Amino acid sequence: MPARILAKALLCLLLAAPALHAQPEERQPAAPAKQLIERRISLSEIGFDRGLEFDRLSGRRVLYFPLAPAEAMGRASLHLALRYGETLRTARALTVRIGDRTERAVDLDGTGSEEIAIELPAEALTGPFLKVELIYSGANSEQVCIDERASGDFLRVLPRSALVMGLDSDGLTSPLTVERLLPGRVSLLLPGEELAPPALAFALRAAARYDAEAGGLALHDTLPRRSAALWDRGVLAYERGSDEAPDLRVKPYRGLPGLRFSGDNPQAALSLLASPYRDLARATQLDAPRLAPPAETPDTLTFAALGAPDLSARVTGAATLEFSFPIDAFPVGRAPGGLDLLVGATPSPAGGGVSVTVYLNDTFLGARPLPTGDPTWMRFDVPEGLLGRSNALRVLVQRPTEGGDCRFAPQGYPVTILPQSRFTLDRETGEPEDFFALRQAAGQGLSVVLDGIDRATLEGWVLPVAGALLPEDAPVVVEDALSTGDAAGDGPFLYLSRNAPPESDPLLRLDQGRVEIRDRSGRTLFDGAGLARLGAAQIVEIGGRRGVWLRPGDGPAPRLTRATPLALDRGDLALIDEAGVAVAVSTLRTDLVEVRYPDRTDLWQILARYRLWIVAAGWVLLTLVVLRALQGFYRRSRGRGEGS
Amino acid sequence: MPLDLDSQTLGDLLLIRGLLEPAQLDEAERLCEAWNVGLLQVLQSRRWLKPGELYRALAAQYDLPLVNLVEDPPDTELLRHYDSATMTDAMTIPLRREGDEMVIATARPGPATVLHIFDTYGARVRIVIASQLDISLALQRAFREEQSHEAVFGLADTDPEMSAKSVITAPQLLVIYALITLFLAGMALAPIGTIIALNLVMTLFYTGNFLFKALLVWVGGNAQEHSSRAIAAEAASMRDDDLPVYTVLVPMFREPEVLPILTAALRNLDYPLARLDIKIVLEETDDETIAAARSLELEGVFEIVQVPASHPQTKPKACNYALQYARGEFLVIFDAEDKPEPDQLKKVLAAFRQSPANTACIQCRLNYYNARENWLTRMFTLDYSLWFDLMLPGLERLGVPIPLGGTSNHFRMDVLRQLKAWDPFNVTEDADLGIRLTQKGYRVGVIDSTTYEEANVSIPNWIRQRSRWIKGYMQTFLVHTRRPVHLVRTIGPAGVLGFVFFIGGTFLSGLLNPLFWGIFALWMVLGAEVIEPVFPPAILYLSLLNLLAGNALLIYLTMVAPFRRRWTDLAPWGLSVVGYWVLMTIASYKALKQLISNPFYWEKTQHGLSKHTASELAAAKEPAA
Repeated sequence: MPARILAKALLCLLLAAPALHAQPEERQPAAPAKQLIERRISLSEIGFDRGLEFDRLSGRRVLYFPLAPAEAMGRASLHLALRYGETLRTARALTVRIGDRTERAVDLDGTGSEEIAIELPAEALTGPFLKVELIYSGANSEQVCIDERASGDFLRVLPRSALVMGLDSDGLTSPLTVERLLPGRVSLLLPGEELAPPALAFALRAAARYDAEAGGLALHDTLPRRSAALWDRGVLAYERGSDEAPDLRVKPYRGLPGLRFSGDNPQAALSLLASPYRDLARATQLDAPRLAPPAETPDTLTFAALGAPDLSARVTGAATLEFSFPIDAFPVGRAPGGLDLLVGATPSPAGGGVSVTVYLNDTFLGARPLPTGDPTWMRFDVPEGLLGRSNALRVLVQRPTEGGDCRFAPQGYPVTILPQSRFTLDRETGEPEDFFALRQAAGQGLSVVLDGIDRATLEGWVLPVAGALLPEDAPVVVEDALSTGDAAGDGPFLYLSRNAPPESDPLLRLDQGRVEIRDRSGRTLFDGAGLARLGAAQIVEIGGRRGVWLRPGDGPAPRLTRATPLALDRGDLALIDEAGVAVAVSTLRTDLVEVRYPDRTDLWQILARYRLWIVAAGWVLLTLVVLRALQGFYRRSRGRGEGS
Repeated sequence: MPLDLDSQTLGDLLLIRGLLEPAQLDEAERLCEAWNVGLLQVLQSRRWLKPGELYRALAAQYDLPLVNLVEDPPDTELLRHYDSATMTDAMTIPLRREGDEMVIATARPGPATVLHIFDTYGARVRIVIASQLDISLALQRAFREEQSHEAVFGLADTDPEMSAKSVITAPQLLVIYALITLFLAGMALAPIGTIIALNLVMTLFYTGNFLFKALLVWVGGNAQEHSSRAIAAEAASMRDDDLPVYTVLVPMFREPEVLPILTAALRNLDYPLARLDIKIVLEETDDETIAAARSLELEGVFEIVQVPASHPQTKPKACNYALQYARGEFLVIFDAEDKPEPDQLKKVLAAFRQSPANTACIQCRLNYYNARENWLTRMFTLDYSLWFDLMLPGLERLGVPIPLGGTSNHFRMDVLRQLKAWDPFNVTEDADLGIRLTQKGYRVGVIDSTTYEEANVSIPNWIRQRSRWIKGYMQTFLVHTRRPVHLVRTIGPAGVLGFVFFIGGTFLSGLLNPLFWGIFALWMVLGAEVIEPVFPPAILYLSLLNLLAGNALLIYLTMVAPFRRRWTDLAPWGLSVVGYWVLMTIASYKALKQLISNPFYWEKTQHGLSKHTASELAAAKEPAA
C-alpha cells in the first residue's frame, strides 16, 4: 500500500512538472465555474434495500446506475461502503469493473469495514446507464484444503453505497432523462386548495408510480426551501396552463430539475413514462399520445414480458436463480395455472446433469431432473391462491460437485433459464376478494371517488393507498359519484369517504353506533375512539362493482418508509395506524376477527351474546316440564296402587 | 256324501213351503257336500231366503217356538252368569227362568246343540229358536261393559309394557331429558362442535336408512319366487271340505257407501262362504252405517257387531271387541273398500302350513285399483309397491320384525287372543302387533297375494291418513324401546337395527328432511361458506353422498317398484317422488303435534272419493250371474 501511494505522488509530480516549469503566461480572466448539483444514487434507490452480500469465496453482481447525458454530466464517482469478515485465513478481493473495465481491486484482509471511492473515467459515463460489476473472489491457502462451504467468509456492500454525480441542471432538458434520474423521494406540487379531477387523477397516478405506499411521495403547494446543491428530492408539478392538451417538460424548481405536467389530462404523460414507449419522452417537449390497451388477452406471459433479469449461473454444487414480479404483471382477469420453464444446463464431462427445484413464494412447486444438455421444458402446476401482490420465483439448481480434490477449484457448469419460460394464464380470477387481486383488476383502470377530501387527507391517506392498489400503468378516472350499471362496466374503484358509500354494505362502519372488533376468542382488539383513530380499507360491492372503501382515520396518517410500506396484500379488511397496516384479514375465508355492533338489535348478536343465558333458560323450562310430567306419572302410579 | 237327516228335513220343508226352488236346493245340497257343512250354514251363505223365513222354517222343522229377542229380550243377569265365548260358539243363550225351567234360545237346533244345552244348563230346560243375529245382539248387550273394558284395557292390564296407553314412560322421559340436557350443555360450551356432532349423527342415520332399504330390496328380490309357486300349488289343491272356519273382520266408521265392494269381493273368494265368520264391526253411534249395512240384506254369514262407545274410539278397539265374537280358527281384517284376490285365504292357509310352527301371521300385499287416477294415486301406488313387493320380503328374509299393513293381515286365532290382539291406544295397531308378535317369539310371513283397495285421491285426505300412520309409528317406536335390552334379546341386534331404521327412520326422516333441504337451499343460494362451519369435510362428503347417491337410489327404487307387477308406465312418475316426500314431511309434523296434544285421536280417512270406487261399487251391486 505505501508503495502505491508513493507511486501516485511521483506520478502527480511528474505530471505537474511541466506546469511548474511553464513560462508564466498572461493571466486570462477565468470562466465562471458552473454550479453543479449533486445526485447520489444509492444501492437502495436501484432496488437493493439491503445492499449486496457475497460469501463462499465467489460471487458476481452487475448493477446499472442511471446516468445523465454527456452535456449534463460533470464528475462522477462510485462510493462503496464495505463490511467483510472471515473465520479462516483466506486471500480475498473485490474487483470493481466499470463499463466492462476493471477500475479497482480491493484487498479484503481479515475482518473489517472500508469506504472506497472510485473516480469514474469520462469514457465510462456515456450512455444512459453505468454498468458496475462487482466480483468477489477468494483463494484457498496453499497449505490447507478448504471446502468453500467452510470458509466462513462474507462481504457486504452496504445499501448506502452510491454513485455520486455532479450534474449541470441546464443540460437536463429531456423529461425522460430527468425522470430516469429522479430521486426516490418525490415532491408533488399541486397548487391551490381545491383539487380538480385532473389534478387528483394525476396525483394518484404519481402515487402509484413513485411508491407513495412506502412514503416516497409528498404533496406540496410549493417546493419547500432547501439546498439547491443536493438533488435528493424529485419534483413533479402540475400546472393547469392554457392549453388543454397534455404537456410534459423539464422545469427547474428552486434550482432542482423537475417535471412540469400541464393540460387537462396530465396522467397521460405519466402513462407515457410508464409505458414501453417512454423513449418518446426523450424530446424536450411532447404531447403525450393516447395509448390504447392491448386488443387480446394473451394465454401466456413469458419471463421476458415480465421483465425477468438474466437468470444464469455457474453451478458447482448449487445455485439459486430468482426474480420477483408483481401481480399486476398478469392481465386483468387472468391468473397463472401453470409454469413452463425452459431450462438449459451444461452437463459435466462425466455426464452428470442437474436437478431443478422450483419454489414460488417459498412454496414448493416441483422438482425435475435434467440429465441432458438440451434446453428442456418443465411444467409445474401453480396452485390457486399462491400469488400475492409481490411474488418471488426461486429456482434451485443442484448438481453433484465434481473435481477439486483439494488441488483445483471444483468445476462449475452454467445453467440458464431461458426467457421464453412462461406462466400459462389458464385460470380466471373471478371477483377480487383480496387487495392484491383488486390491484390486478385495476390494471385496466380505476374509478376514484373522493368524497370530502382535503390536501392533508389526500397526502396522508389517499396517496399511500393508491400507491398500494394502483398499478403504475393503470389509468385513473376521478368521479363525483360512482357510476354503476351496464354503461359503467365492472371495473374496480377506490372510494374515499368518512361514511359508507351509498348502496354498499361494508362489514365495518362507524356510522351505525358502537362497533367492536374482536378476535376469535372474543377478546376486543379495537373499539370506540381507538377504532375511529384508525383508517380502514375494505373491499365492498356497489352496484355489481367491487372496490375499496377507504375511511381515513381520525388519528395520525401512517408514516411510511421503504422499510415499513403500506402493505395491502391479502385480505379484504385492513386497519391502518401510524405505523402502517395494523391488521389485515380476509373476512370471507377466515373468522380471525369479528365485527360487532353492540347497539344493533341483531338477532344473531343477541343469540351469541346471551347464548349461555338462553341455553340455561331453556334447560330450566325443560326441567320444569319434565318434573311436571314425572309428577303426573307418580300420581297415576299411586292411583293405580290405591285402586288395586 | 248325502245330506244329514236334519238338513234333508229342512230342505224338504223349505221346498214344500215354496221358500226354495228345486234348483236352489240342488245347489245347496251340492255345496253342503262340497263344503262339508249343514244345509243351515249353506242357506245362511245365500240370499235365497230372508233370515226370518229361514228361522221360521227351522222352528217348524223342530216344532219349537220362534222368539224375537228384540221384542222379548233375555234376562241379562242370567245371561251374564255364563261364558260369552261358549255361548257365542254354540249360538245358544239362556233367556229366562220360568219356574224351575230355564228357557234356552238357539240358532242351531240339532242333536249336538241339545247335548250342549243339557251339559250347560241342565235337563230342565225349554228350548226355543232365535235367529243368529238376535242371539248375537243379545250377547253384545249383556256383556258390553266387560267386553268393552276388555277391548280397551285387555292389553294394558295384562302387558302394560306393551301398551301405548302410556305414550311415554318415566324412564324414557328421563332418557330424553338427559339427551336434551347433554345437547344444551354442548350448545353452551361448544356450540359449533355440538352442532357438528349432531349433524354427524343425523347424516349417519340417513346413510344407514338408505343403505338398509337398498339391502332389503336386494335381499328380498328373489326370496319369494320359489315360495310363491309352492304356496300357489298347495292352495290350488285344497279341498273345500277340509277348510277351517275363517273369521273376517270388517271395521267401518261412517262409510256406508263402499261396503258392497267388500261384500262382493268376499262372495267372490275361493273359499266356502259358509265357513266364513264375517263380522261387520260398527260403532254403535254410527247409525248411518248401521242402517246402510242392514239395508243391504246381507247373507247370514255377515254379522253386524256394534261396538259400544268408549274412549279411545279407534279401529283396534273395535276389532278387539269384535274378536270376542269371532269363531274362526284364523282371522283376517279387511277394509270396506278392499278387493282381495279370490284365492288369498287358501294361499294363506297353505303358507301357514308350509311355514315354521311359530308363524302367527301372514301379511299379504296391498295395492290400488285406482293407481293411475292422479299424481297422488300414482305416488301412493309406487310407495306401496316398494313397500310390499320389494321391502317386506327383504324384512322377512333378514328376520327383521315386520310392521304389518293396515289390512290383509291373517292371524292364527289362538295366538291373537293370547297376545290380547291389537293395542287400542296405538293408531297403527297393525304395525305394533307385528313387532309385538316378533318380540313374543312368533314369526310374520309375507306371501304373494294382493288385496286391492282405494288409494287416496285427495292430498288433504292423504295427509290426514299418513299423519295417523306416522303418529302410530312414533307410538310403536316409543312402546318397543321402553325395554331396550329386552328388545335386543327378543329380536336380536339385526332386528333392532331394522326396527330403528324402518320404524324410526320413517318418521325421523320425515321430520329431519326440511332441515337438510333448508341447508341444501342455503348452500345453493349462498355458497359453501355459509354451511362450512358445521360441515367439516368428512361430514360434507357424507352428506353429499346422501344427497346424491342416497336420494338417487331411493328414486330409482321407487321407479323400479312397479316392475314386478309389470306396471312400467308408472316408473317415470318415480322421478317426482320428491314431491311425495314433501307431503310426508307435512304429515310427520302433523303427527308429532298430535302425538303431544292428542295421541289417541284416530284421524279418519274418507273413502269412496275415487271415481274408480264408484265403478267398483256399481259392479259390486250388479246381481251375480
